[in-house]
Amino acid sequence: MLGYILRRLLLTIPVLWGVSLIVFIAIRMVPGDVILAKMQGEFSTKPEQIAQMRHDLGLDVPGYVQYIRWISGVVRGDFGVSMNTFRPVLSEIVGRLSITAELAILSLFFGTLIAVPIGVMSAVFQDSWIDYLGRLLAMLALSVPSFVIATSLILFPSLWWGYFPPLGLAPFFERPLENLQQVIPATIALGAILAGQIMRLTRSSVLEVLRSDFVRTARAKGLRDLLVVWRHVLKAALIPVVTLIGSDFGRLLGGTVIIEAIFAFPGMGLLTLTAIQLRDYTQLQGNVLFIAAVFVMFNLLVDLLYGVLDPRIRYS
Amino acid sequence: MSTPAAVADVQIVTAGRVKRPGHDLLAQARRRPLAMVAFAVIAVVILVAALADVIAPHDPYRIYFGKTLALPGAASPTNVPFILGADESGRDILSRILYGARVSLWVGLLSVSVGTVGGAMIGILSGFRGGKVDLILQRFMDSQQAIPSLVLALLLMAVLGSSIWNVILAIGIVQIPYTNRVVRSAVLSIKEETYVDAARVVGCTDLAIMARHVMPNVLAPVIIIGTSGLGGAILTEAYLSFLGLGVPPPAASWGGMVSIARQYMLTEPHLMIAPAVTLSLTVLGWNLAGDALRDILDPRLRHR
Repeated sequence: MLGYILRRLLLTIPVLWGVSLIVFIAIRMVPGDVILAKMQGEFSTKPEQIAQMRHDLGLDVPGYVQYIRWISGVVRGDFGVSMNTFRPVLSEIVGRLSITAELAILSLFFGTLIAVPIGVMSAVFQDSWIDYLGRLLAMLALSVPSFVIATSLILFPSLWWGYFPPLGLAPFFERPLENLQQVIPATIALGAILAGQIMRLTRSSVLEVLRSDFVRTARAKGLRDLLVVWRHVLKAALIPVVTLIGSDFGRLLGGTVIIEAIFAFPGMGLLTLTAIQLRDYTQLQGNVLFIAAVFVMFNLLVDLLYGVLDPRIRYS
Repeated sequence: MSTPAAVADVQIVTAGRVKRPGHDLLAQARRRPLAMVAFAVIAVVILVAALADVIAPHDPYRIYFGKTLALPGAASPTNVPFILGADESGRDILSRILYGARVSLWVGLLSVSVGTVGGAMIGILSGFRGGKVDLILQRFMDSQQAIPSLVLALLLMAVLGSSIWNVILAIGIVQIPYTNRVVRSAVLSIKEETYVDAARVVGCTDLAIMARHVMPNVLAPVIIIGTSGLGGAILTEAYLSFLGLGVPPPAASWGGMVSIARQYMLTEPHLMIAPAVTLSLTVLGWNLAGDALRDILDPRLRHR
């Protein structure tokens, strides 16, 4: 087990190294650099000043030197300083994590709560109208763009009841009620996509378990259908669902660009978007590497969880 | 399929399956109400895209001064009213939606082609050659997949610059790892087949085997992935347009229309509703079609 974890951890190194190369090269191929992006509209800047700023930010040396400087900092836990705010990249990320984590937890909670019962019903009553309705609902959730759902959730309450969520994000631990009012529409929009995925996986997984031998045995010994589902099927069928939720959580912690942009939530997604727009090299590199690392780690955790939940799987 | 072994193989496969695949597809679809809805939606979108010049009541780019934000049904300077109203620049919304079908179809089909062809090529090469080639290509694919697809698409758009071709390229590149994974695992089992050995014995080169014997056999999964990915590709285009990095104006893109209409949503909701509904229905159609196609073409899932 320990050997397996170590081997998997070692395997993440080339993946993350690849990520660092992709993002480092890509952002430097974008026309214009951080200084030009920040100097937009300021005509009085002298060339010497620009050269000085380039030097201060370490942009006056060849690309490979910049990469070596950056990556050798990263392996020591130093992600450098944001070229936009001049604050450490890591502390910018930590500052944005709370709202992103709140969104991730709430929307997964909401999505699971809706999706699992519908998915189970859909499978148990396969090819009935309940099934078709459930599948259509899941497909709708995956097809309507999240910005349409999010905008509707602001638009209709305001048209019908003149209700607006309060402006300016309130911190959860200081004004929780106000915070929830602002976060819930975003959670629904985000949760819908997750619910669509979870519903479909739950349905196909329950269908597969329903056809297995031990379910036939349980039926044969006279258990009623619903009791079979409750006692025997769910336990086995929900294992892949749990793993999907785990890997979704890993992905959501990287932020959701669209939802955060609509609601102006200062989370990881918005931080990444502004970093691209401002050509904030260090911040973008740090963000993408961080997001990829979280994603890879959660996938490892999910695989380990699989082994805990499903006793047939053993790691060697 | 030039060797005797390959011919025998094909015959066994056809004997075990239904004789007329085209007929089978239709018959299967008829028994699935959701599939019929999906194919109907797609047929309408294709028809509209093809006939946009004929059926659009107005020029989608023509600005009617003084008619900005006209309500649905409002009179226009021509003899056809603004059936769905006019947008913030005074352009006919219905005509823009009809022309938007072209952008949507174009971006969807081409970007999926880039993604599936690219993914299939990498998957075949990687799976067939194995060894170092496989190791390097797959680690690269893993790295790409560790980056959220929208972030990667945004980054690519920033690098490439805003144009419809770059949107297609960016969305296509983002989709490559998914096809790659499926194709590679299919190739790993295909390359153990007798007909591959037979081809090698008669002196075929690796390239010839990959092109003539491996590729035709991964076509079915590639078609399934492509169809399922189309809805996602159209959605991604809408997301890029929404963030201002999609198909550049004045082209009529549904995502772009919704994105601009959001600024007017409290006072002029009609600007947003029509393109948003069209966009959602089209994506729904492609997603349902991808599902139906997978159920029909993938025999392992057939009886679910």
